[in-house]
Amino acid sequence: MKLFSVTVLAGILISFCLLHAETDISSALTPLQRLTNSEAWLDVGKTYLGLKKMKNAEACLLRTVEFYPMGKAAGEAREILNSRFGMSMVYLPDQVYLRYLQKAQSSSDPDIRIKFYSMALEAKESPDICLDLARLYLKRGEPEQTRIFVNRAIQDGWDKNKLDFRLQEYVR
Amino acid sequence: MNSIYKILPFLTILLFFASCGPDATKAVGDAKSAIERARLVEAPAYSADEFHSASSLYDMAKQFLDAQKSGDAVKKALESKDMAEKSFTNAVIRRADAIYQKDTDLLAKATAQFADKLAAAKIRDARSDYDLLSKVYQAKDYDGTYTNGTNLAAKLADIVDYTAKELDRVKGVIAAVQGRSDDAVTDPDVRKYAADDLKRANDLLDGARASLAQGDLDPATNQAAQADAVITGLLARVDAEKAKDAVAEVSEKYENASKQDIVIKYAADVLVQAKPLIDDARTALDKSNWADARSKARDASQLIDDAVRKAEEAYRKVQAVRQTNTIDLDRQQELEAQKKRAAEFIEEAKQRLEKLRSLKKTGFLEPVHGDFAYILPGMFHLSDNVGRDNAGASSATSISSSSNVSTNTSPTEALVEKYIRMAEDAYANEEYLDAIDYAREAIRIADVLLSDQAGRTYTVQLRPNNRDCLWKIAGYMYDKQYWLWPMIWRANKYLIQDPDLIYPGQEFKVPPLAGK
Repeated sequence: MKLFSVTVLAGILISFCLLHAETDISSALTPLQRLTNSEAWLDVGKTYLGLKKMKNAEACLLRTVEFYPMGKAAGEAREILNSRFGMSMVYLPDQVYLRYLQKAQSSSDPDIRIKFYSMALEAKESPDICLDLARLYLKRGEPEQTRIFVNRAIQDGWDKNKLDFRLQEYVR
Repeated sequence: MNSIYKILPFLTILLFFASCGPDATKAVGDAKSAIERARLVEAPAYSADEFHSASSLYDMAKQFLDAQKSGDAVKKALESKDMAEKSFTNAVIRRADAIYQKDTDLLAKATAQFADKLAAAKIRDARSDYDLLSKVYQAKDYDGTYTNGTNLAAKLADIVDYTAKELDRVKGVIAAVQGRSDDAVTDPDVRKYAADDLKRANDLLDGARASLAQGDLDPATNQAAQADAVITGLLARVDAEKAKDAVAEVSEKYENASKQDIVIKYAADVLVQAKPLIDDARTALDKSNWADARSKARDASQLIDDAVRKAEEAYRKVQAVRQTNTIDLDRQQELEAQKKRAAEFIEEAKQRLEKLRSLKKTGFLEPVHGDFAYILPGMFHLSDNVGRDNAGASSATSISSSSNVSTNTSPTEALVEKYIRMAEDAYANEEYLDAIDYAREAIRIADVLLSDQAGRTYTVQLRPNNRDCLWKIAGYMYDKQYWLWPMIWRANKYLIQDPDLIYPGQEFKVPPLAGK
């Protein structure tokens, strides 16, 4: 029981550290690039498992989770980490959402903000994030993307009468 | 002589009046005097029967006298006088008895009312008078008894009044404090915060009542005052505790409300008004202004309730709009927008698929064990057991029986087609959001496949002091993004059995990043 608790705590701690540590290594990637890269890491991790290089395999599986925690590749990686390495890792959408939201809000680079906001949106649908993205795209002069996210915010329940006047014209 | 006969009758009458008139009148007058004397000793009260008989006989005597029946008048007057005197004697005795009895009763009452403690000097003086009165009474000096007894009765009445008032005053004090205690005990907060103090107050009140029962009014008053002070103190303490509780409760309520997404989203304007009130309440607490603190906390609590209610109503309204089956204008616009977006994505996915097919026709792209790979001419024998059939005969490519598709399978053209088909099915069923998701996945996989054949190449170098590895190659080719090396490995999986072992001269395809 004690060993199990320690393992669970260690798993949660590792997840937490990975989530915090990723800013430097992956902030330049879009969600789709993250997803593809996450799948590649899973693939190489499984190859290492086949080669019995367990330390390398473990590191690759952790990278899989780190790059795209909400993907099915990450889910499979967590299962392998659990069954083969005794790590009890859990996916907490709200925490993942908040983490990406904080990263986005703490960055001054619009590109990075867009990427992290997009990741937050992948974790959890939110009209507020859609509006933040719409504003960023508007600032970058991308009307089509602005239109997409304004209307997505409205679909998610945002009152279109309370929209920023600059975004009003993008409502379908 | 004749004149003598003429005046003789007048003389006779004159003599008659002269002989009998004065006796009857005197008797009647005596009777009247006797009656008046009896009245002076309160005979109508103390000897009523005899007095009324004397009065009646007197009235009859007067009537006889008026009727010039002197004999009868005298007789009745004498009877009246006797009766009046009898009434006088009885009244004197009975009046003395009565006053003596009254004094005896008053003395007993004064004693019962603790006159010995409350009016010691006066009661001592009165007892002395009473002893003297008893002696006079036993000597049958009725007038003396009445006179002394009347004076003593006045003194005793004063004492009885005074002691009664003092006792009533202290009883009133105790009753008032008891009333405060009874009110306090009905307050659950008093029971919660000050049960011990309340018990102490009630013990003091019991003591006060015990002292009162002994006629010790000062101790009783003091104990009642102490109980009152205890109650005042405990009520003040309860007020403070209630104020602290109220402020703590409203602070927690505010924190909880501010954590609710819907409150922040729909009622932040109301919620924010509660904050300064809570601050004011805390300031009032610091200044021990309990009533003000509670009032502010109550107002803040009301505002928070309003905010939550407003948020819930707004949320319900949004939910109702979402759940309603009636297609209003907004809903129709939403659906149109989703439909258009889904069509755009499906079209884009189809374009990708066409591009893939056109490349495949050139022989530039072929599947190997479920993977599309960049094939170097003549290097490997091509396997044709997968990827040819869109139905998914590939062992490496699996599509589950449900609508979920494993994203961990290696990308193939068949997978792209499958996703496009699922997107089209969803579109046909008006499930536009699902259609968008499927089409996006098809585009992403197609991009991966296209990138596999469209990238640059890198030839592994022989540098003894700085040996190449996939990590370094990714750094060279992806602008120091070393952690993308699995992308290179994946695109060259058929060349690299062990990611840790690569050899000089090997030429690796470096796929561009898909999914921009």
